[in-house]
Amino acid sequence: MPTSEPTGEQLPPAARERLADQRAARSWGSSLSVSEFAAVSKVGFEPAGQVLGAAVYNVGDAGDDECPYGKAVYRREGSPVYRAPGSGLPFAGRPAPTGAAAIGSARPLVSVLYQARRAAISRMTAECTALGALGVIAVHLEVGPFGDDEDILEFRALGTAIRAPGVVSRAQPFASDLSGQDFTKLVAHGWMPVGLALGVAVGYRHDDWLTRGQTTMAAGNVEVDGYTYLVRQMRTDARNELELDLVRMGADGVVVRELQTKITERKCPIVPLGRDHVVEATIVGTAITQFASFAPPPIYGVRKLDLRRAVPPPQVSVNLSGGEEQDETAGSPVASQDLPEG
Amino acid sequence: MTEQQGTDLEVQGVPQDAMRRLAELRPGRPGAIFTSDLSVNEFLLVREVGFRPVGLVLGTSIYHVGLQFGRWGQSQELDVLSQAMYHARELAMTRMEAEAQALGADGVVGVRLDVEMKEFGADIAEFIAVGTAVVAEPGAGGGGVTNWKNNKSMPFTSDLSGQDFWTLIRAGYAPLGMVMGSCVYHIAHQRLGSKMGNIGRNVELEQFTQALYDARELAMSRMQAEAEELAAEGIVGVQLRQHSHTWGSHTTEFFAIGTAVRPLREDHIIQTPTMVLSLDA
Repeated sequence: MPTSEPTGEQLPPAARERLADQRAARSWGSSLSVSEFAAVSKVGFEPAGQVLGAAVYNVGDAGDDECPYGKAVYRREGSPVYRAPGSGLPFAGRPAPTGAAAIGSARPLVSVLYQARRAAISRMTAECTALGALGVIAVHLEVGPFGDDEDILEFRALGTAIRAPGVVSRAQPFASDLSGQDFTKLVAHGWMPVGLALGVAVGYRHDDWLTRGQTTMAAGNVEVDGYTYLVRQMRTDARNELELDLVRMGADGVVVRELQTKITERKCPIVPLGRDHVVEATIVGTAITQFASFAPPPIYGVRKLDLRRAVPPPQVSVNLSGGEEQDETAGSPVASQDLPEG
Repeated sequence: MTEQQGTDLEVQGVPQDAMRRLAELRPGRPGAIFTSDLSVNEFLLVREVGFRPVGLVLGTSIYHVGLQFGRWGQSQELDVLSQAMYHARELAMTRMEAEAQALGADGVVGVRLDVEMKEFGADIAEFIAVGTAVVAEPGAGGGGVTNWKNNKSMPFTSDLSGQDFWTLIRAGYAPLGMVMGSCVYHIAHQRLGSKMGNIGRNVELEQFTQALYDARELAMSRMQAEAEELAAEGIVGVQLRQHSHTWGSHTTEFFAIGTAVRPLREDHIIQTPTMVLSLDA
């Protein structure tokens, strides 16, 4: 959770000016497509304006001096379970930590990644409040590099604020990454977005001798236990975080749009010449809650009139010379206009 | 019973944390939430046919694929590679099913089964199965169906989209499980003589045709064998994919995947389609 929620007063002057102009002029800008706009207005909303939030963060520290394997085996620290008594050599006879014990969780990094996204989102919703709108839909949450330094990342949230004419809400505006159509469908079925739910988890694991053995050319068909465990654990952690977010928001459920896993390799901070793998799992979704359980509009079996199969335009041939072709052209309005006397 | 389930899950390789998460999600309790990776359309449609999403389930396996080379001039199946692709997918699917079972789900819809060559190394692939576990509410699918699980008493799985799932249930069919077949095939290179002989001519390269045929047939027959095991009436939504992964141009994986279905009732009538102008982009 960010420590300070920016309100309308704390927005940068340029943003404040733009929003005030927009509010006074009663005109709006939006990044909605025509279809999205049409869908949203069907359930009584209209766009209030485009809103954005940005936050640039330095995210250097991925648990840089941590490695459970290195600590237990190389430095002989940590839980005594991993310390083989009476052995002189640093590696000899020392059982390596396995399973969850071998995985380090980059807590500081996780909270930065979470907070940076939250900051971008809450700045965006602050703009939404300044416009007097109810919430933001079609949010794009992007992470991009900032200049050449790969440790500095820009987190952006860009969306369209919507309002319902005549409705003033004191509630915290919601944010949702659903498209206009999806938002409309949810509202029509008695569900409302509560906010964006995030789940982030980052963990690292040393490539121990077993992992290295399983990944050599000679290993044959074998599951790489360590990697599987690491990836699975991080995805599970991310889902746990997502659920915590849901509980925090008081939502009934979530529809997830994005499930991303990023895998990188790094030099082990403890074991010389050792390698670690770092996995970052991110889940983003819209938390939703049910406000009414009225009978949903019926769903019909329909055939789309899409443009995938191009239909050639109807051929209209106009024959002005009259005579023997008159019968064929009689059905065409253009032809029949020209032919009454002829 | 729960202890039995717990040990089962551990055997499948579902981590402790995942099990705890699933226990917290266990539906039916007041205040229980659900997670899903369904799109809004799918979420609403799945509910419309009487299913309730209970949780996002996934299974992962990171797999080191062994080494096998085809002979330069011979078309043959590379069974080591076939087995690897098959076994790893099976692991991912089973783990996903185990998670769904732990949630007390009747099935998993919208399953995506992907292979990704991640940054772990050249021979290492990640196999991932993600889907949304659903529970059938009384009267789901028009009522009269008491058991939605398949003949292995596991939750059904289906890679159909929510829209297709809706249509399928409405038409009186139920999914049984995802069935798949995989075949990694090495296609013989052309011999120099025949290559020279074909220069500038329009001819069919029969050995290539034959090899591609054989490989696809193998993949599809394996998929059908799985469907027969489930006592299915048929398979819908079959996709026949080709991946070259990292094996070069003459070694290709042919992968067939689809959803095996069974009939729920005798008549299979769907609503008459109506013309609409879609607002979707």
